Amino acid sequence: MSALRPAPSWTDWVPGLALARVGRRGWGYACLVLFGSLVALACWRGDRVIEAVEAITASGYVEGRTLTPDAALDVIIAALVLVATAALSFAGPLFASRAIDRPAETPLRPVSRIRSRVLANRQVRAGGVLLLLLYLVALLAPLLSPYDPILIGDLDTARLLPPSFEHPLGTDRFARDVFSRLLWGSRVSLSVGLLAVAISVTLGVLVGAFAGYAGGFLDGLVMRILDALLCFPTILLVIACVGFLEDRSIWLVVTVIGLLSWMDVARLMRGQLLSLVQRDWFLAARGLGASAPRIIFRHLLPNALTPILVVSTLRVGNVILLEASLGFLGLGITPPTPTWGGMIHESRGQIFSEWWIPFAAGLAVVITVTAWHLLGDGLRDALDPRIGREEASPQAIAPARRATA
Amino acid sequence: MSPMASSAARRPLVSIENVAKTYAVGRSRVRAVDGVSLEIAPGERVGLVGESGSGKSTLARLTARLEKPTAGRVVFDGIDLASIPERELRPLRARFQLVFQDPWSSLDPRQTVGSAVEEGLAIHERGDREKRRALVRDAFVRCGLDPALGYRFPHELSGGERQRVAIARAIILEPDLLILDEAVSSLDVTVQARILELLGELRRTLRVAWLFVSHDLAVVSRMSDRVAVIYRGRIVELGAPADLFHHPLHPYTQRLVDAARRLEDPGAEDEPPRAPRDLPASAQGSRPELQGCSFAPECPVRVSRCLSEAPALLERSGRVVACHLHDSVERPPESP
Amino acid sequence: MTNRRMDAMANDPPLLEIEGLTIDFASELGQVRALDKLDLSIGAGEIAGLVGESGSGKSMTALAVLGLVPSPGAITAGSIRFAGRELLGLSEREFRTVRGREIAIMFQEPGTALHPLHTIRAQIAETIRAHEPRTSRREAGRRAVELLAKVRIDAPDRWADRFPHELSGGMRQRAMLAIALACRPRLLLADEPTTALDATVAGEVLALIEELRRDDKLAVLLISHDLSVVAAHADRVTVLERGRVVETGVTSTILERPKEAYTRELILARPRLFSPPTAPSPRVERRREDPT
Repeated sequence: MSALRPAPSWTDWVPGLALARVGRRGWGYACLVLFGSLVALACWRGDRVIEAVEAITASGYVEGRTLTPDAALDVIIAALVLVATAALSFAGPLFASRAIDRPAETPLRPVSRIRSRVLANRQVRAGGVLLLLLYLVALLAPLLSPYDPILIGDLDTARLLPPSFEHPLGTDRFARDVFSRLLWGSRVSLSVGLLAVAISVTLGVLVGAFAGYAGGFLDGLVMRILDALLCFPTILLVIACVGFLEDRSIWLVVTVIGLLSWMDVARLMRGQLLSLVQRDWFLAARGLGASAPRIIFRHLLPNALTPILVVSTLRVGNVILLEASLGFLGLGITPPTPTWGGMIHESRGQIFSEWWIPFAAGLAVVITVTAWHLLGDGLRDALDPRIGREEASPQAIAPARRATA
Repeated sequence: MSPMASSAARRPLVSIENVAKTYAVGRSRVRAVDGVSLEIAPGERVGLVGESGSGKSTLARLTARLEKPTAGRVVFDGIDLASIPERELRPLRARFQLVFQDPWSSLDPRQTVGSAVEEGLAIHERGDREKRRALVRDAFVRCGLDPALGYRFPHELSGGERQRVAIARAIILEPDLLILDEAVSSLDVTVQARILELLGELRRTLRVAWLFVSHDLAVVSRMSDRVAVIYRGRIVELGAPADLFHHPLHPYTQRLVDAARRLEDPGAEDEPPRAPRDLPASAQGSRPELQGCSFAPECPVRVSRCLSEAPALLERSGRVVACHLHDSVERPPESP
Repeated sequence: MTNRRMDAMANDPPLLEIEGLTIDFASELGQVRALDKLDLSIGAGEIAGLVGESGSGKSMTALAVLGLVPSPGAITAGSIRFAGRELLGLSEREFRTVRGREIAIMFQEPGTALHPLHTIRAQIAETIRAHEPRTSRREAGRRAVELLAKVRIDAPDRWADRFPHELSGGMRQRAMLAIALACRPRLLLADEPTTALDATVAGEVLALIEELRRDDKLAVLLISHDLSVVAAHADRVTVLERGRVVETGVTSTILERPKEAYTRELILARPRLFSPPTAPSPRVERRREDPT
């Protein structure tokens, strides 16, 4: 096996080149570029990190300090992320190449077969890489952004400046650098997406599993409540909850969205469960004397999770859109915290003059949502139909064709 | 003793007493099992034979307490299964286990077969990790499986192997009763033969009683000491298999026997097979609106009494049969 | 009877001739040979049996005849001739004139092979109109009911407008037989026609097939894992084990003097209520010799 590949050499220690040696050139060079960019960023922003460390450790008033302890903490965390990612992009290819060098010993187990099919799917790869980059940018925003996103600049001279070298996307109404706000806004959108979906999916899975398992009257009751809640478009519900509040923090938005969008998942979960409880193995588990929690957590949930996973990834995209819509309506997270929707809202008077501001924010939303949808679609293709075929009996494949074919 | 009693004098292991189960299907109600009584003595092999829709699977599930009867009781070793709380039922479940028909769906597809077999032990907290592993290995070997297969997932095994896993899972708890619901019907004949052999061997070593449900007369005959014939939720005849199938008393049993014989040796029949009336898929369960025998509409030898009066189970020539034909006078069994 | 059928009766060459058929599958573990050099021939009015366990390649044979071998499988050697015409290498369009019209197939699981959302009448009519496009919908519907009557479903006009899930297993199998017979095929491939059925209805279906063979000179390839079922109706039997032909010959010979241990195992596998497995009784043999 390894005779076909060049033997390991010193180049393996250059980040990414190890993968290039074993044939994965694209990934290898990508890792190299990543590592290089991270190192460049570290060098460029090293001073900011030092400043942050000083701000945290020093006490008392220091002349010229611009970082609050909170901000400093952000910077330090970003720095840690940078180091970790750099280390990964260095070590990852190394280990991966070693694994590829070693010939496969055992025939692939079905779980790894599924995993390799998922990873091979183009959409999953495209969406996945895009998302990794987006989240990396969001995590490294404290280091990447050239200016403070909230600090109002010189209102006399620096308002609504066009894009230039100092301000890649110009400045907004309050003389703040748009590019920095964009970067920091990504943190809000991306985290709201993940957290709100985490809440709604957890809630939906629990309620749906309970309804599906309980069956009968309880199931009917839960379903009717669900139906009532589903009558309202989610965005209206969210607006109704959030709109009249003055001070809208990110946690509030996350919680409200999370608590108001679980119904779809619940219904899906319940449907899954209803079909699963018909299966013989479910009856067998009951026959063995398994308790309800055991059956639900060890048997039903693992089998029901595949569609839930797909739906969750698709949802994150939708939640990001929802949050942006709220921001656009002026009902999102209270300014001055930068959010993409909020940026569009603030610059709505400038659509025809400084159009690049709302355009950039909108484009950011589009790219993020597309990335999540790519991932979700790819997952759905990679996971669903083939899994059904693998689990069916061999005879079941043939009769699917009809005589008149 | 009631006619359905087993021959053993001591207390029966299972006593199914006048059990009925009604399902609501759409707007109507289907009485899948209608007043069935049956006893299984410890170590006895009882067969249950009938066509699809006869209620035999429902009866199997009721016996395994996967469902509660609408009427009557299922008594296991003196305990009414429907009346005890869940907490007490659980440890009792280890004493009766069910093996299903479809080897493809009776195992959780996301669980390795080894852990599927071990699960029973884990649930009933028998032994520690080491001991359980040993028991699992032992069960695999007893069921003719290579213990190394324990790490495989169900879809990596063949149908016969999966069924062996299902049996291993059932016997690992050393139950007193096995309920086999069409356990070999989905298998190829050669595999079926080997599984039947395995079951025979297991019975010798474990001394387990079983309820063997099937639509195949030959298989049931080989695997039972007594056989009950069920039609539309009611038992119509009960007796020792050799006797029952070679000299059937009830016309429905006769029909089943004729069909089986025709399959084995088609040329022997002179007349072309007579088509039973075509019934919809939902035609299950007894017909409570009929006052007489539920088989009467299709019975070739019915008399007027059959339409007005439902026959009771009577003892005749060492067997039990529900048919007016054998009611008035003790006729000698008709030779087929 | 159409002209072509009378021609087929006049000459007596086999209707279906399979020679050296080999099917290979590309899998993760390399090439798997699903079928190895199978020889088989069936004449008009003959029933040929193909017996083997799951995975022996018997269903694959039927699919190969219809050109429906699913990828990653492929026919790598051999020839299949139907009425003298080579089927391997036919284009999809040419195959479609053969499938359903000259050669029909009946599958094992009537529950999944029938479309759950179409009535029985619609499914039969679809087949008719697919091959005889000038048939009006009403005409096709009428013929559908006739076919249902032919497969001994009583009150066929009532059942024609029902959905598959409303029919019992035996009726579904007969409905599938009706679909298969819709365009008066000359060859029927019956893949495990009785496996999912109770003995009573299985007997019905097999008796129907016998009748068709007798009255319409239908050639039948009867595929099953149960040698006794096949042996009771087939004139010749071929036994497959993991893709290889283990034994082949006239049914009575195979049953009385099986050459291979595997064949013996198949014969004895099935528990029998009555007589030990023998050749079909004299009455059947006599029927075969009759020139009707």
